Amino acid sequence: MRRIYIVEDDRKICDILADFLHKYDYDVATVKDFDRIDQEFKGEDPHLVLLDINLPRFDGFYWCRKIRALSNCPIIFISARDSGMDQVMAIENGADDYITKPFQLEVVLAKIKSLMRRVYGEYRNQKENPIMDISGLQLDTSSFVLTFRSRHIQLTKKEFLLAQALLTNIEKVLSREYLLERLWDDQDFVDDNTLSVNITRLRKKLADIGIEAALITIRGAGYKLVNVWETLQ
Amino acid sequence: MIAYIKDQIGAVIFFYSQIGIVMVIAELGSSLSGGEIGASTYGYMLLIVTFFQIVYHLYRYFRFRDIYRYAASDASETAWLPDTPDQLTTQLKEHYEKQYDYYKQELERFHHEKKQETLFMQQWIHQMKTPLSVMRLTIDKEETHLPPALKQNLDEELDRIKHGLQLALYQSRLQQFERDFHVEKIVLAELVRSIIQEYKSSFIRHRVYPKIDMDPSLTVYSDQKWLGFVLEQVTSNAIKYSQHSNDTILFRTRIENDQIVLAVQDHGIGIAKQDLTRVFDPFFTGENGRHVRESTGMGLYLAKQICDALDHKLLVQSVIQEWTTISVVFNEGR
Repeated sequence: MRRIYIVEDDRKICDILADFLHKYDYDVATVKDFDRIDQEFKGEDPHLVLLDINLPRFDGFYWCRKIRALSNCPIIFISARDSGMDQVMAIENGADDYITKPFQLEVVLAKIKSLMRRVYGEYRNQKENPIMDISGLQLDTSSFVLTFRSRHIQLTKKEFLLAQALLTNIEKVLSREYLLERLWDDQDFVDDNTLSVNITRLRKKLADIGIEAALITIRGAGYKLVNVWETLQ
Repeated sequence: MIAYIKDQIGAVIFFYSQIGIVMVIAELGSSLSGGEIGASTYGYMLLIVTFFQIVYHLYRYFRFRDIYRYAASDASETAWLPDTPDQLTTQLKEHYEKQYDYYKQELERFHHEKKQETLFMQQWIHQMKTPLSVMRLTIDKEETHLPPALKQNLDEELDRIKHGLQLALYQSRLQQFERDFHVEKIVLAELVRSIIQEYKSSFIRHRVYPKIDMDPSLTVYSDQKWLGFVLEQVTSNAIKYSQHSNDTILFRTRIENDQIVLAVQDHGIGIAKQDLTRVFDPFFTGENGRHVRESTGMGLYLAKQICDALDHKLLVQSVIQEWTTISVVFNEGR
């Protein structure tokens, strides 16, 4: 398990980050003594460090140099400062990447993953196979194939993203806005119609593998996936 | 020289009028006593006094020359004054120097205060970003537990805070523009995409959708961050003033007179004709400001200031209730 050491003086951010990374199977250590960050680093021996700039006593740049003297471990700065100068300073003091506040957890995760991959090699999926399984309905997150009672159906990327969001939040109402945000990527800006079309297609594909009426439209609120197949099994 | 002559012409006239009176009295006196002074004697007298008069004025002119030249030149930048030739100018010089020192001190004090204030502003804005992150992250974490309407409300308010902080930060940065200014080659389409990503939830919330019609290879020379800020303002305006109607916001580039033009067009409420020329004024919100509560009137003003400093042009065209196009014209060709 990869260990991440978080140096951030805002307790809440620290906790949220730790919680989130924990969910993605990282071992997380947070800072305890702001005067002995280099010692703590040595003790924890993490695979990656998240470092804030504004810290009590010495700033993040200082600690970054200290850590660099000890190790080559990847360091990502997380700071509210967003001037070019700060980013240059960070990189020059030995950081590998820079994230500005307010940030999104997904961005942090993506950057951590990419750095870990580059530094420690490919290790993805070491924890488990890529298949989500909810009462026999299986979604293969690597090939986008949906399986139920040995009937397979191939999903498109958009259908897959929808299915994934719905399965992760099964029995919960997901708003159209929430789903639209999942579908957007930087190449494709999805509108309301596209969402409706994809929901219809997904419904049809679910029907094709024998699951009817699981994907419910809640008027004025969004969509909900109901586990109707548990009894079918 | 001319200024000197102007100053002295009165004295010269006075001098010759005195000579004239002396001559008249001498003429009268000599004719009463029967004698006579010849015209050549008068001529000689005139010549002599004129000679000394010229010598005197030449001498005086050379002493005062520096002062005259100094006064004529535009010396607003320095406090230096040439050596003074007489009592009056010496006193004036002392007075002037005292005032100059006083103003300089005053100015330095203001400068210092202003700097402190800017520093405080920037620090404070950064400090505010942390609680903002915490709120945003907390909401994201609870995303599916919150009622959608509540989540949307919170998102909207958080975005407003973020936008406001951003405005304040750039406003305070603008005052020290040169310090933080880095021109590089920018792939325009990439920058636009990243800004659209940034405003993703805002687009979705307002039910408007971006459309890109751009040559992906077009590059411009600009400052990534400042230009990004300008495009953020333009984009956020376009979203704000669209009409929740599944409309599109079109990002389009074209080449016009060898200049690259990036136009952002919305199909929103438009801008009233009488407001068009004033949208770049600070705090101007116009007709639309009364309908949209987020209007601060600062976004486009700052965008314009930044474009001026970056040597880009910022143009606005609009037909009310139809569309608004804001274009950035990059000064260099391909």
